[in-house]
Amino acid sequence: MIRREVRHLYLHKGTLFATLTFFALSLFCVSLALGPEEKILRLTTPALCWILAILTTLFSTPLLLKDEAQQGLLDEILLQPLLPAFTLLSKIGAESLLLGFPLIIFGGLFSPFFALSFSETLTLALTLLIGFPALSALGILGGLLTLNTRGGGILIALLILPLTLPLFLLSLICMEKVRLDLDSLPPFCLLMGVALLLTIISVSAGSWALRFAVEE
Amino acid sequence: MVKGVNGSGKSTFLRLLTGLIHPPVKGLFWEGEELKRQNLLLYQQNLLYVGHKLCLHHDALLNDQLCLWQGLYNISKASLEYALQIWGVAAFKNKKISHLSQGQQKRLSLSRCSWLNRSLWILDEPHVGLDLEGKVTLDHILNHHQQKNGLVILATHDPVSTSKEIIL
Amino acid sequence: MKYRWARPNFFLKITTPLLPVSFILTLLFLTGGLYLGLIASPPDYLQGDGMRIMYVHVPASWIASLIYAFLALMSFFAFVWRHLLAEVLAISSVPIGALFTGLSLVTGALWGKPMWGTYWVWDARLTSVLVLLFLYGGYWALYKSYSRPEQGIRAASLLALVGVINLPIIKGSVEWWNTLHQPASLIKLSSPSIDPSMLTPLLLMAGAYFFYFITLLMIRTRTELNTRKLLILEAKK
Repeated sequence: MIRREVRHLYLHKGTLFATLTFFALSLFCVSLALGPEEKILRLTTPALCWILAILTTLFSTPLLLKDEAQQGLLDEILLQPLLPAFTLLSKIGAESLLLGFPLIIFGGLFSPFFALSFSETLTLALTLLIGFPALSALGILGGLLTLNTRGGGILIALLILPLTLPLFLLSLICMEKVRLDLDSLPPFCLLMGVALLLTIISVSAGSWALRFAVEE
Repeated sequence: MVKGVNGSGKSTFLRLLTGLIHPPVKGLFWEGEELKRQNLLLYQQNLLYVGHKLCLHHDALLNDQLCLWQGLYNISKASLEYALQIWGVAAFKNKKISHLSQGQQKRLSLSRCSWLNRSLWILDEPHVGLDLEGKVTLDHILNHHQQKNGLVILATHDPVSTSKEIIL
Repeated sequence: MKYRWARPNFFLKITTPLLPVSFILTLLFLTGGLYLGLIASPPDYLQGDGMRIMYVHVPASWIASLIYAFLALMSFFAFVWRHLLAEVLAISSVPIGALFTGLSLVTGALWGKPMWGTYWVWDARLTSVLVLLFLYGGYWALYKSYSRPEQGIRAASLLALVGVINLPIIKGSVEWWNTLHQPASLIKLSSPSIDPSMLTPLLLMAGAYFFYFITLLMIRTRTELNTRKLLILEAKK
């Protein structure tokens, strides 16, 4: 099933590529603006990576959903014998594979430029890896909620950004602990728990939102 | 056959019948039973719905679309290709769907009638956008389905030989 | 509409006598609370007269959270049973909740200036109240961006339900994030023991706010219900 969604998502490789480029470009721009000082870069890059990851998912996921809705493909999901929640889950899986992984690899590749140590890079990649499915789930929820509204994009950020806050803060706590050589396991476990909870909540809410999104 | 002037709610009525829209007052009944969660799923497994939105992947090649259908509905490639032959779109397999003309896309979407084995068909203005030859094919397939004791519910402005009319 | 008490008409009937009662209660609590808080109670030995802002601030935060809980409950009813009265109650409570959240933020900032030397610190409480304001804003924006209100209310209800599950998590993570960054040298808003002379005005103010909420809620709901009735009547013509 995930394979089907991957194949489907792969059709939109243009959007995916643009999203990734946006991520890389804005990362560069902001770090240029911050100046070459290593200390500042080291402090700010994790937060930056996270914020950009949130923004990219919040903008690209709903875009893809809107496209599907226009073709009437969401009807097809609902007319399947499968629970819509499973389809949404496989969408999240496909997005994590095609967008999440490249994003993490990007972040990892460029982290030496931002004076991150190896363990810090690893933590950043791990937190992104854990957080990404939850972000994607929240993005799907936002996209479905705003499907029939005027002016979706900004609205989604307003609705969903506050909800992503715990993921973001917990990952930064992890990073901070790693930087200070403290025990980073507790925030890490908490992050996993919160990510799982958020995914479950937004997928179940999303399957409801899907039902009334097609009632238009 | 569902008839009615523009804006009288034909499309909404058909979507209601598919169970996609929650009925506001009473429930949906099929063969004397109210459709609730479990039997709604069964009912939807027996139903083919082609609406105004064509349910095609615009960015896909026709071949990719076939692959997606194969996975989604467990259909053999041969029957898909046979259906494309009937609808006259088999020659465009390596074309992007968004590059096909409106009529060709409609034919592709309607080809579901030929490869998907369901007894209840709900079609929303299937004649729109088809050329004369396409309409003939469609009517032929509709008649064939009715002879096999299948049920077709369609909204249309074209004359079709039917047993019952609902006017909204 | 299975239950008699949940019918819009019943609501309209029962709130006609209740409205003035609740209004008078608001006035009573407000005068009592303000008198005790601003004039009768002693100034705080640490914070002086600036502490009196607390009588406006703390109850506002309480009521803001309470209204969100109310909103979530109504959203649940509205979402599961598509109940008209619950929908209207939910929509009507949002601006009031946002009002109290804003009041809490503004008074908090005003209090912070003399106490902390700055209007704003990224304190856990302030930040989570700010998030609450964003949640109210998101609810309202989502509701308003649908061209058909009956669709908007369902989307917004879903959002409120997701928000209410998330709120404790957000609060917890903000708190943790904060303890990592700031030494706990700030004066905490809640002291371990509150003198009764301070507690009474606090509770009175909370009561005043509560009844103010109820009054406004009734007025807004009645207006909304009557507007809908009018629309239906006009449509029938």
